[in-house]
Amino acid sequence: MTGTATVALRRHRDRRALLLIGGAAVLTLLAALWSLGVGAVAIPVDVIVNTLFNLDGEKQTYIIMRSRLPRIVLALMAGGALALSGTIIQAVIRNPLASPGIIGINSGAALFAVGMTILLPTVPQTWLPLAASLGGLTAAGIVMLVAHRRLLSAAHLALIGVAVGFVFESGVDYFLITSSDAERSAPLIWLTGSLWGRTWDHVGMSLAPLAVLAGMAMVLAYRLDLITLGEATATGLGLDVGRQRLIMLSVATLLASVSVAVVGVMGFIGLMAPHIARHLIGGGHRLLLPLAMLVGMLLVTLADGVGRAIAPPIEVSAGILSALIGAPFFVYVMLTTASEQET
Amino acid sequence: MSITLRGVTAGYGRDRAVISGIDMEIRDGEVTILIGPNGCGKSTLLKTVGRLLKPRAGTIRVDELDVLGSNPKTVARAIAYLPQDPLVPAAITVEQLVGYGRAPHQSLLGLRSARDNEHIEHAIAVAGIGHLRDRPVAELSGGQRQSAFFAMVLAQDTPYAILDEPTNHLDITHQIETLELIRRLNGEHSKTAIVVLHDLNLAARYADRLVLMKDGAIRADGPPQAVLTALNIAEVFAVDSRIIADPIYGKPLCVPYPTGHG
Amino acid sequence: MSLAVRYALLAAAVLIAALLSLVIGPRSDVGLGNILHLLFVDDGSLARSTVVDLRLPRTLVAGLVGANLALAGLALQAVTRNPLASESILGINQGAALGVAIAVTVPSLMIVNLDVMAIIGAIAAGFLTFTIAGGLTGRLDSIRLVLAGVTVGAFSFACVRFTFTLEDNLSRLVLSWVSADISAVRLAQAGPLALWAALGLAASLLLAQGFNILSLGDGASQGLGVDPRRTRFLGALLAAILTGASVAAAGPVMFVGLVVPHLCRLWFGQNHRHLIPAVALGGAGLVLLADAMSKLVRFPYETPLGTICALIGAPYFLIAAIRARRMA
Repeated sequence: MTGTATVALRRHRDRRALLLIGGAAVLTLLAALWSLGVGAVAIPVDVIVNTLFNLDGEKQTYIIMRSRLPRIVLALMAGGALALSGTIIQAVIRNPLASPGIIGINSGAALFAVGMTILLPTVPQTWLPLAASLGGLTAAGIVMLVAHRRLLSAAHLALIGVAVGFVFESGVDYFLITSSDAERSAPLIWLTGSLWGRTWDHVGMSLAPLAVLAGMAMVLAYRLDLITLGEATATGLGLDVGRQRLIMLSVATLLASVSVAVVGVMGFIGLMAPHIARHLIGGGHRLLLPLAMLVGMLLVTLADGVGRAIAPPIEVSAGILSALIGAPFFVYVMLTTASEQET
Repeated sequence: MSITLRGVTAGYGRDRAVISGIDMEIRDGEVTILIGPNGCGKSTLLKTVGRLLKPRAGTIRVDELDVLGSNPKTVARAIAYLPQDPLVPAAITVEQLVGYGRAPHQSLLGLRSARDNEHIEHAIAVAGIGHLRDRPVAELSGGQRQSAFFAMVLAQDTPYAILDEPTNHLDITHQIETLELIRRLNGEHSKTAIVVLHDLNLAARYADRLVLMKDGAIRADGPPQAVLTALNIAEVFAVDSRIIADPIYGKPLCVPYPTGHG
Repeated sequence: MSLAVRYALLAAAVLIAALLSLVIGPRSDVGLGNILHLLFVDDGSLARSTVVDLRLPRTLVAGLVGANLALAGLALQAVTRNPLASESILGINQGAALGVAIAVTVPSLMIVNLDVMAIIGAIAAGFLTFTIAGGLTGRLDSIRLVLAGVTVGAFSFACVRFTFTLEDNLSRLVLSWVSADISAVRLAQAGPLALWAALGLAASLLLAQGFNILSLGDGASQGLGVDPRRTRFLGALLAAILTGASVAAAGPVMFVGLVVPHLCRLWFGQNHRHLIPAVALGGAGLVLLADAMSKLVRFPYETPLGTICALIGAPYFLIAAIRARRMA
C-alpha cells in the first residue's frame, strides 16, 4: 500500500472512532435527560428544560435541581470512574474477566467506610471518600506488594486480589453482624450501590479527585497499550513494567475507591463498560479509555433511571440493577469468547 | 560496538543458579545462535540481557552502556528483545502492533512522528505483511503473527536484536521463512542478532557463530564447523552422531544415532 | 505414625471439639464435669434441657455441616485439579444461598422443599462457573475458573442482598441467616443433614479411586479406563448437593471446603481413599471448634458461625494464594 493510501485509511478509521465517541456522548446526555424525568413524579421534557435553563414556564425546581440533578451528575461521575478503573485493571491483569472488585478494591473500600461509620459515628460523612480510598488502597496495596515482591504473573495477581477481597468482605460482614439494627441500616443500603439520597455535597467531595484521576488515566493510555503485550515484550520495548504497573493500579484503585465512597459498591460497571467499548473500538487505549468512560456513564445513568422508572414510587437501587444485568451479560461474553492467553 | 557479559550468574526465585559466571562477547554484525539441551540456560541468558531477569552477579554492557543499571528505555533503543511465544493483546491490528515497536523512541504519550511512521512502513514492507496491516493480530496464523512481531522488532530500529526461540511452534515453511528474515536483517540492515534455537542443523546453517551451552555454562563457542562436532554433541546431548557437510550450503549437518548403532 | 493411629487421634480431636461446643456457653451449670451426665440422664433440670434441646442440635448441625462442606471441597479440588478450589470460591455456596433466598422471599416458587431449592441453586451456580471456565470437557483454565466462580458468587450474593431490601422485617432475619447463625437450630434439621452426610460419604468413597486417577490428567485417566468427564460431572454434582444441603440447614459457611482438605493432605497424603474419611472428620472438627469459638469471641455475646469461619478461612485462603506456586 502506498504511503498516502495508508494515511487515508488511518484517517477513515480515526474518523469512525471519533464518531463512535461522539455518538456515545450524545446518547449519554439523552439518557441523563430522560433520567431526570422519571421517578415518583414523572416530569415532561419541556418542564425539565425550563428548570435547567431557568426559562419561563412550568418548573420543578426542587425535584430537579435538588433531588435528581445531583444524582444524575453523580451517576455520570461514578460510572465514568468505574469504567476507567476497570479498563486499566483489565489491561494490567490482561484478562477481560478482571474488574476493580477483582483486586479487592471494592471490599477494602467498603470495609474502611463501614468501619468508619460504625466505629466513629461522630465523624461527618464528608470523610467517607477518604476512608474508602484508604481502604481501597490498602487492599490493592497488599496485592501489589505481594505481586511486586515475587514478580507474579497477572493471573496470580488476580488470584491474590480475590483472596484479599474475601478477607475484607469477612471484615465487613463482621461489622454488620456485630452492630445494632440502627447502626447497620445505613451502611447496608449504601453497600448495595445506590444513588438514593445523594446530594450536591456528595458531588462536591468527589468532583475534584475524580477529575484529576480521570486525567491521569488518559495520560496512561499508551503505557496501557504496551503493558497488554505482556511483561516480557513490554520490557523489551523499554517499559519499566514493575513501576508502571504500580502507577496504573494506584490510579485505578483511587478511581474505584472514591466511587465506592460516594455511591457504594457497583460491581459490574467496571467489568462491562471496557468490554462493550473494546468490542466497538478495538484495543488502542487512547480511544478505548474515553469510550469506556462514556459507556460507564451511560450504564449507571440508565441503571439509576430504570430503577426509578420500573415501579414508582419504589426505587430499585442502581447497584442491584447493574448486577442483575451485568452478570448475565458477563456470562454471555465469557461463553462466546475463547480463553485469553495467559502467562 | 558489542555486547559484553562478565561473570553473569542468574536463576529463578531462591532456586539454584541456572547460569553461572558467564563471560561472553557478542560481536557486531554477526548472527549468534545459542543451542543446548533443555535447562542449559540459553533462554535464561537471553532473559538477563533482555532485562527480564535480574542476574545475581555480573555485568552486562552494550559498549559503554550498563544494561542493568540504565534506564529501560535507553537500553531498549540499543537492544530489541522478543520473548518466546509473545502474548497477543485483544483487538489490536498488525499496524498498531508494529507501531508499538517505536515506543522506546517516543514519549510516554506515544504520539507518532513522521520518522516513526517511516520506520513502521519500512518494517511492514520488509516483513512482507503489508496485506495484513489492518487485520487483528489475534486472527493471524502462527507464521503471520511471528512476522508481525518481527516487524515490531524491526520498527524498534536497534543495532541488536535478541530473539528467544522465534521458531517455536512454527511449521517448517515458517521456520525457514523466519530464519531467512533474520539473515536478511543481518545482511541488509546490519542488525546483530542473538537467537536461541532448538534445531541444531538449522542453527548451524544460519549462524555466523554458534554457542553451545550445558548446565549453565558455555561448552563451545565459535564458527559452526568448530562447534558442531561429534565430540561436542556427545558430551552435551549424550548422543552419538556423524557430522557431514550438507549438500546445498556446505554447512555442518548433524546426523544423530543411538549409542551402539554406529 | 500409622494411618489408623492418625484417624484415632483425629476422631479424638473431633470428640473434644464436640464436647467444647456443647459445654461452652453462658450457663454455669453445664461443664465438662457433668456434660456426659446431662446428655444421657434425664433429670428434668434446666441444664439438661439446655443441653439436649438447644445445644445438642446445634452441635450436631455444626459437625454435619463441617463434614459435608469438607467433602464437597475435596471433590471440587479433585475435579478441577486445583488445590485452591472450594465451594465458596467457585460460587457454589453463594448459589445455594440464592436458592434459599428465592424460596424464602417468593414462597410460591418453592415447589420443592428448602433443601432441594438450595441444591438447585448450588447446581446452577456450579454449572455456570464450570461452563464459563471451559466446560466439563477437560481444559479447565484455572484463572478463568477462579474469576468465573468469584463473579458467579458475587452475582448470587448481590441478589441475596437484594432480597434484604425487599422487606424490612426480613432484613435482620436474612442477615442472620446469611452469616450462618445456627444458634436457633432444631433437632429436626439435623436429621436430613445426617442423611446427606452419610450418602455423601458413601458416594465420595465410591468416587475416591476416580479422583486419584483424575489427577493424572485426562489422557492418562482415559487410558486407565476412568472416564474423566463422568467422574468430573459426578464429583461436581456431589459437591453441589452436599453444599446445598448444608446451606439449607445452616446458611452459607465459607472456606471449610478449602481449609480442611488442605490441612488433611498434610497429614494423610494424597490418596483420596484415605483422605475422604479424614476430611469428613476434620471438617466436623473444624466447624465444631468454630462453633465453640462463636460463643467465646465476644463473650457473652455470640458471633454467628459463618462470620467466624470467614474470619478464619479468608486469611487462610490469602496465605494459600500467595504461596501457590502453580496455578493449575
